[in-house]
Amino acid sequence: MKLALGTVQFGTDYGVTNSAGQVCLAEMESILYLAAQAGIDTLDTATVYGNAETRLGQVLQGSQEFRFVTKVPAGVSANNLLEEIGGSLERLRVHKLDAVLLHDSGDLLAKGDELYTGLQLARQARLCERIGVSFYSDVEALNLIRQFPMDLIQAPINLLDQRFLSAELSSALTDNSVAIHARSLFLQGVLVTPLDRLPDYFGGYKSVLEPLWQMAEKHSVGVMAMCLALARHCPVIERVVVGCCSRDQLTQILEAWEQAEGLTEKLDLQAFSCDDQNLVMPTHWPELKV
Amino acid sequence: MIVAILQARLSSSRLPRKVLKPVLGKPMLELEIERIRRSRLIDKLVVATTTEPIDKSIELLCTRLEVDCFRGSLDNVLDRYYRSAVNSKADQVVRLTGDCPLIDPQIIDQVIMLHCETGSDYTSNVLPPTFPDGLDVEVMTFSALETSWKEARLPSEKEHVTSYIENHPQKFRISNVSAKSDFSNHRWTVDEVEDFELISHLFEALYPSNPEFSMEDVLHYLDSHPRVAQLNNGIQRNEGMQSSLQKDQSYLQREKADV
Repeated sequence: MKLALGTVQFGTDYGVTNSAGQVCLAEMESILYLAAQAGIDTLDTATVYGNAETRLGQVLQGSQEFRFVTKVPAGVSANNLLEEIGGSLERLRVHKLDAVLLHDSGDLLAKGDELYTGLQLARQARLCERIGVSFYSDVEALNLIRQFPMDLIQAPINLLDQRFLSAELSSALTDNSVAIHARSLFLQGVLVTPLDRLPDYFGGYKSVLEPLWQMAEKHSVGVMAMCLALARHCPVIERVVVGCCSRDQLTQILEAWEQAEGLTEKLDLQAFSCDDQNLVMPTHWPELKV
Repeated sequence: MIVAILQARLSSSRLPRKVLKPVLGKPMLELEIERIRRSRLIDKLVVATTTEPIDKSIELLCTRLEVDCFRGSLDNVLDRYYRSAVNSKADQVVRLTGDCPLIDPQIIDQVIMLHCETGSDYTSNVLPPTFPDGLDVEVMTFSALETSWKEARLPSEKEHVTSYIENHPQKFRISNVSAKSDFSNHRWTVDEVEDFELISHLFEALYPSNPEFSMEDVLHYLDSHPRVAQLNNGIQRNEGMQSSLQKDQSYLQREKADV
């Protein structure tokens, strides 16, 4: 199963379209149960996702059902990197992680060698199988994966933002044996929310977003399935991270995942690629709490 | 309670981070711990590392392996040992070092047994050395360790846990375990890259068919593979000790100057 479960919703009320707020423990349990049944084996988390790590530790009680990818907070120094990793292990109640990523690639740019040594140490001590970085910028990724051998990166990939699917980056990843986890498939929910229910800010992007819904209608598929199809059929992507606030949402996503099978052959999904930073980069959006 | 205290740190000067260097995909220290755990007489194993931030990785490795870990002074290893021993309520302390992954649990048990049978204060297999360098086992009573901790003044006696005992043989009842013949020309400790090459080679050759391989198995293998045995020829025994003896000289000179 190529889907991985994101856990930011377990610790904070995240996403401009998430109005349910933080997920309660009982709901979390039922989401995780469904995920395991569906064959999802990886949970994606981070120290800065509120209390997500702690709650995952509480609910899963150190069971071996899932592997964890976690991210150490931005601003981490070589001196406290291992302390941070230790904190995550403790909160998640496990002895070992699948991967530790730097949440902010800027940290590697600023204090490269020392911080990188710390990551290597963690991997040598087998606190994690893999080390890597979470990226926003494809240019930065291209530079850093060549400079610092790493095992895994995470990056935003969706119908609008296809920077990380460029031929150059794909071959750099393959050549350096770096796996990639795709996040932000639904662009924080924006891509799967009907246009009339989106915050006003997105009104100006009607011409970009509308064709999506038109194509979905024309081929009678869900927009969500189209979003997932892009990553489902991309061979460089190892896992596709999706988040949800309820068991029902995960059911929906799992259905869409099935629907996505074979869609790339029928639909030209690359056509949606858009380079308007103000639309594709959530960091460029104004404050949009709904 | 018989507590083995395994000293390990990452900031070694000659081969930095050696204890985490992977052999057969595992950190060297993990393989050593695996072997120590086969001792039948050790009640508890504690890894004594330093409070340096980098050694947090050793602490976390211990958590993963479910081994106790104590963090103390970087340079005053005697103090680190003493506090580890107090902390773990040790009656007898077995001193082991993290750069000796071939340590043999049977030899550990031999030394412990002689120590307990003779009621010695300090029992080892290094006075004089007959075992390969890297299979050193030292067992001491808690009170011998405490006496050393209280009395030691020289830098070398603080940096090397048992130097005080060795320097004051009249104060302690000392016993020694000897090997059947003299193997002390063998060098199985890891200080230099060449040592690491030898150790990796031995693990790769012996571990897959028998993870519990003994000193005899290694000796036998080296007999039939003389070129492997030469991998780390020409490296001096105990260079670390020589550097702290130099520190002693300057300490003693300063002390004279103070008078």
